[in-house]
Amino acid sequence: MAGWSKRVDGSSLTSFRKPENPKNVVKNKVDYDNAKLLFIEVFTICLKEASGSLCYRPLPPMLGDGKSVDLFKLYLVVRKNGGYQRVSENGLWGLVGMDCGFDSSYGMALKLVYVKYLGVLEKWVLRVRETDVSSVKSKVSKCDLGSDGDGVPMDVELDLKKVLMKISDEKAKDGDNGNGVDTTDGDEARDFDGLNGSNEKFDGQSNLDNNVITVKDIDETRSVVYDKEHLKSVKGRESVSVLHGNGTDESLTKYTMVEEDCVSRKRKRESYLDMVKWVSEVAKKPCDLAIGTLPDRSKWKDYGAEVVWKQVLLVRDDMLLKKDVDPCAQQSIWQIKQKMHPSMYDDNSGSGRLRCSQRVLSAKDHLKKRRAMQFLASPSSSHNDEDQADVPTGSSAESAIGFWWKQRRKRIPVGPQFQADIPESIEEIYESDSKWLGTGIWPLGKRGKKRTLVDRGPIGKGRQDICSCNTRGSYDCVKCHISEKRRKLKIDLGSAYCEWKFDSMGEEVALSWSREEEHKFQDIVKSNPLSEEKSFWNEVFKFFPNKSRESLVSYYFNVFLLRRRANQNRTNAGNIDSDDDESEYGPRFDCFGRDAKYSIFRSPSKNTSGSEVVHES
Amino acid sequence: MDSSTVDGGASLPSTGTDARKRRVSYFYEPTIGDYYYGQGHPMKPHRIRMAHNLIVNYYLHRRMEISRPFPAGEDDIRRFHSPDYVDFLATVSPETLHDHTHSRHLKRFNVGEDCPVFDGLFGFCQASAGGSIGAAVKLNRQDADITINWAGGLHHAKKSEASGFCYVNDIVLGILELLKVHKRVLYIDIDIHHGDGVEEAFFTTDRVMTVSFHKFGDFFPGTGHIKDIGANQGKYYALNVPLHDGMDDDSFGRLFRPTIQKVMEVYQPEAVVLQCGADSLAGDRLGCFNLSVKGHAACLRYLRSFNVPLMVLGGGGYTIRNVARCWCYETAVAVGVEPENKLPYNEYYEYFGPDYTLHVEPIPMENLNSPRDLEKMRNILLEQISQLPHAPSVPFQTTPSTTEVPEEKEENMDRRPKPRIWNGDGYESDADEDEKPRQRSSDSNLTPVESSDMRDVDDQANADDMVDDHP
Repeated sequence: MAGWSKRVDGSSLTSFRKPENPKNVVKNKVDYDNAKLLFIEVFTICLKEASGSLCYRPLPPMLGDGKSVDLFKLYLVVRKNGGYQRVSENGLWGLVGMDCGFDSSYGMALKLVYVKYLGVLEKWVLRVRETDVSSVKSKVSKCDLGSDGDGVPMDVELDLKKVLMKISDEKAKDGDNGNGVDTTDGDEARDFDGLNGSNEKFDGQSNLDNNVITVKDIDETRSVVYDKEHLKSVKGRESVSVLHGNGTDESLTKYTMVEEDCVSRKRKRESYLDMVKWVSEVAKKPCDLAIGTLPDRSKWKDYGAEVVWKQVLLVRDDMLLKKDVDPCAQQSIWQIKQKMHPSMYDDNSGSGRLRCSQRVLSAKDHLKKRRAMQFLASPSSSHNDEDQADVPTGSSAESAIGFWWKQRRKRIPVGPQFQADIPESIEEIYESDSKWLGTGIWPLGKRGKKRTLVDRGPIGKGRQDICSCNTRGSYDCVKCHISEKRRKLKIDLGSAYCEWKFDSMGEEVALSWSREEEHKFQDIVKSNPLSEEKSFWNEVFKFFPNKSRESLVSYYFNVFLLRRRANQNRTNAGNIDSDDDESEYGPRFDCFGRDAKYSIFRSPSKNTSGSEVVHES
Repeated sequence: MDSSTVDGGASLPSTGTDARKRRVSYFYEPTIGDYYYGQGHPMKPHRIRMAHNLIVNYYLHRRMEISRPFPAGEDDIRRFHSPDYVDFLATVSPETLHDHTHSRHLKRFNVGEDCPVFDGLFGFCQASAGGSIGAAVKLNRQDADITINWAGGLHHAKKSEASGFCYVNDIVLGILELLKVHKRVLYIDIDIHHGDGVEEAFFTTDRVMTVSFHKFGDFFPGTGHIKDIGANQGKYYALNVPLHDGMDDDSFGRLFRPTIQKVMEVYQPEAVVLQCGADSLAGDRLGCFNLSVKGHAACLRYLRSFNVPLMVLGGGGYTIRNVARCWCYETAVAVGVEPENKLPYNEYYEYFGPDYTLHVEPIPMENLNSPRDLEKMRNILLEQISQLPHAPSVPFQTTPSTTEVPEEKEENMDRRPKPRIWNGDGYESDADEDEKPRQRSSDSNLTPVESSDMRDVDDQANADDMVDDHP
């Protein structure tokens, strides 16, 4: 029934796009919509009746040239003209076409649509007319017990009629008051009423003269099947990306059962209708302040089960979540740190109001990675297209991306304490402090420039593995070539060599260290492996009070690690993930920011000299 | 990888052949490598020094102007960050860490675990931010076409909060500087982590569009949902590309290029900032993508081809030998040189063993992003981009000048910056000299260096024609 969602949305939208005088017609609009909803319910059941439990008729029905037909309108127009039989006999289909907003040549196409889609409905209506009201009642109570008896559609049809009557009544009243009754919809409803005057007798017991009839007054006749239909349309309107198929039905049923436990049947029915109304209100006017703000999920339990929005959100939650997902598993810091309610930035106009945000729900969607992969891999995922209306575009590309769509979101806070102050205008004449240009080091100024005849090789040139060293590739060989290169570079760079501190890169740093010191350094590091949560730096600082932290760290990166790597390259080439001091601890940082047990450690101070006092950390 | 599919230029009419030279300005703080986050901390400023060392040993510096950045002052940093946070950063030290005044701020500013207080912390921030602001100023003054600051790109820092090893958001500061001259700035982030700090800072403005490609799902920092598209004025001006583990060159390029091309087309930025976090490389200690150095640099190569003022920044990257490789190679891409794969001998040579090559192979791992999903992702992104007004209506006021003729001024500023082309005058006459030794040694050295340099020579000859062809 995925098609329904579109249908419901589409039809309510079309009816609301029509220019109307808001003050006079608002109520009519609402009732018309209610009637339409009822019509859709009736129609759904009829269609099922006609084509079995699986409906393959496309919705909305399309004419040959791609125009879609508003079934409700077609139904009303045909009934106005006396029903299918009479319209056909009198050759009125052209007229029907015009009344439906097409030209008369569409008559036959509409006839076909009517036969295919609405014929059954009309048969039901005719049967209803011949049935005694009391017998309807008894049948109704039977079906209430769970059997899907014949009474259901009849009763629904009653309700549909009631509401239709009511529309007409309202309309008539408005007309009497001289208020502009210019909406096509209203006219149709009134005409319909007039032509079906006989229904009054038939509906004798229902207070037709009473304008207070509302959707809530539908009496206790709907079956669970009906409720399900409702829920499905709820789902459709909410445009949630839901896995379609058995899962949905299961969860729906489950939800229905749960509901039955706590609320009375009658209440339940009312609340479903309320729910549909509420959802459609929200869908139509997401920015309506009257809808108010929804509380945070954590406060939901403070509200009773009868609260409409809560029901809607719960239904959706239930439909979104799979049973096997542990709800706590990923309630991570992300959510705790959530700073601001999404409604704060959702819309420009939505000042603080939440439009029944799908985002709230999707934010609660605890999908596990594993499951996500299954979902992505699932060949059936392509069936989800119609339910993916939450994807902003309506493009055909949504289904697999639904995974990303449903991922939990961390909110981006909005406010002056978070965003940068953007300069309002651009500067006509850009004036910048020349300090920002920094200190030019390269190219060399006149002072540092030396013309040399050294063959520096072309830009981008790599090494050539042609060397005459005895032990090619050995550490000594490499060292030799490095220092050769260094000499070349020194000449080439001139003053930049020292300005870039090339003189304290690599093995050069070791020149100021004695052999004993180097041995000691090595010993300390080895005897304090990080795996034992020891910090070798404390020892190092203690042992080398005359060396600055800066020079110690410099030695560590420029000499110690380099040599260790050189050694690994020649002995342990299979396992070279050791340019790090803590290579064996790689996994610890997998979570990047959650697990940081290592102590804060101080690196060498930039401005202290060798005589710096060592601190214990 | 097939270079014709990955390395080709953009198809915008305003761009020409990619190989033309750009004036490249590069910022390097010589003391940067001595800053130390602490034992066991994966963030190692030392990697920037290693990258610089490789760059110079490949002689790439001859194609660039290299400056030591001016350290950004507290006032400069306050242009984005909140005053109390800046005060804190400027005064805290490991010694004063547990003083009463500071200790109560630690939690508030998220300083402590990921973002430890280390000696010289503020100096590090100053150097990083100073480089990025300087890079922006260079572009603003049209002194350079591409500016590079590998010490920058610290994209997680928030207005008053440190995060993910980042304290001061040099990117935001740099972009704010760019906004003084450029109406629209595009920020692109190929770090494996979401560029949350930058996105947040510009979440509500349309003058900066942020595009981030990142791993999403149970991964730091948790933001970057595909549905986060900006708010208020900035709605649709944030784009997020969430990805699974194992992204490889091919997949990344097929997502990156069409997305960026469309963004460039629709948004028409006047300047671009590219954060080149190297933790999206294969084998990163914290990352889980599978990009090769070439695949990573293909992003830069592609952006370079648009010939829009471009700021290139560093970022993450925790397998430091690969970070140095990557940033060295990207520097080469910026200056239009294809370096040889065999690393020249250099001070940190042993870090790059046992193969001692510039490029690293991707590791054998499964790409959890299926081509089908990526295609769908791409379509979604293109849809989102198409939500942008095609001719961007950027709120933009010029303060009326008393002396200027407004129309003229407007016209100048509305126009895309004229492609700036290397005119043969190098920062040093070396540019000419370079050709000579190469010519001499061309017999023995049939290498990529040859072809790329030869191409440059041709381009120089054609440079004037190209200006006419692509105004």
